[in-house]
Amino acid sequence: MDTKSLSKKNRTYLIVFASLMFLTFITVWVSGLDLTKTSKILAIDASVCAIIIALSVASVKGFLVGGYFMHLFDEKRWVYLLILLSVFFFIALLYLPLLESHSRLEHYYVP
Amino acid sequence: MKIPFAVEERPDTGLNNGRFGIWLFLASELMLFGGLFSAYILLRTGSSGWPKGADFLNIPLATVNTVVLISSSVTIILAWIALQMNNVKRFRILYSLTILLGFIFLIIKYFEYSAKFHHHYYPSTNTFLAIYFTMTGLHVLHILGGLLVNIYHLFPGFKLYKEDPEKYKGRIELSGIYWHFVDLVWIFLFPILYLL
Repeated sequence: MDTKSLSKKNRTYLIVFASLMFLTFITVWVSGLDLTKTSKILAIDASVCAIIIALSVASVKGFLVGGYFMHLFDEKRWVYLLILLSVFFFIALLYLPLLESHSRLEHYYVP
Repeated sequence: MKIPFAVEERPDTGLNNGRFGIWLFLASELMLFGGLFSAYILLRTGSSGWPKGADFLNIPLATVNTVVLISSSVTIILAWIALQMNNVKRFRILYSLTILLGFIFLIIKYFEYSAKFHHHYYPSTNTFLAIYFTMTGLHVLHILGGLLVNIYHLFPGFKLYKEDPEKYKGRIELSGIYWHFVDLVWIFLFPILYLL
């Protein structure tokens, strides 16, 4: 890589850094908001609304870190295949608990 | 004996050993944290109530830690750019800064954990704290592992730069990819444990 393209990358990383900071601020700010009105408009529970917003912002941040900092935008086909495979199993792992809802103990959390 | 494809790319995959290795490792790491995220969903959806993170946790401290970790991610990648430009002085400053930010993250985490224990909040107190300590504890172990690797590269491992600069640059890039992954995990841990 020549000096010119490295300097360009340097600038890109600083922009990504600023975006990540801004999105962190947004995440914290939104968590303090009363989402009752928004949830009524969207016809969903306020807590579900908060989860959707927080995880959407986190996903954008993850996309920026993965794409730019981890060089995923310039990676080879084999890396993409490896990631696709692990993401598939990761999502499967996340959805497995949601498949069963009839045998919940309802007393996991003890305040 | 020279190990083949340590720096040059394999003709079949287009990747060298280190790059393929780190992504295989990170795939296994994704499964490890995936299992815990899955456990979190199971515990949360299976309970009749769930506390807000602020009921037990210190959000301002965690926000500072998020800023610290994101900053360390940018310093490590700028360090790699400096090394690509053969600006060793700038590389060493930025890489040292990454290590320093890693330690600041751990110190803040120490104060956070101490406050929990002071209030008699333990993993056995309830399932929220159990999953909180498990996930953040595992994350802290990953930070510690990353710090050890980064310290090695900055001090004893630096002699490789004089012997084989391209190999050393490759190692710094791979240690950076691992560090960004640790940052990525925190980006998701922060909202689900502290804010929701």
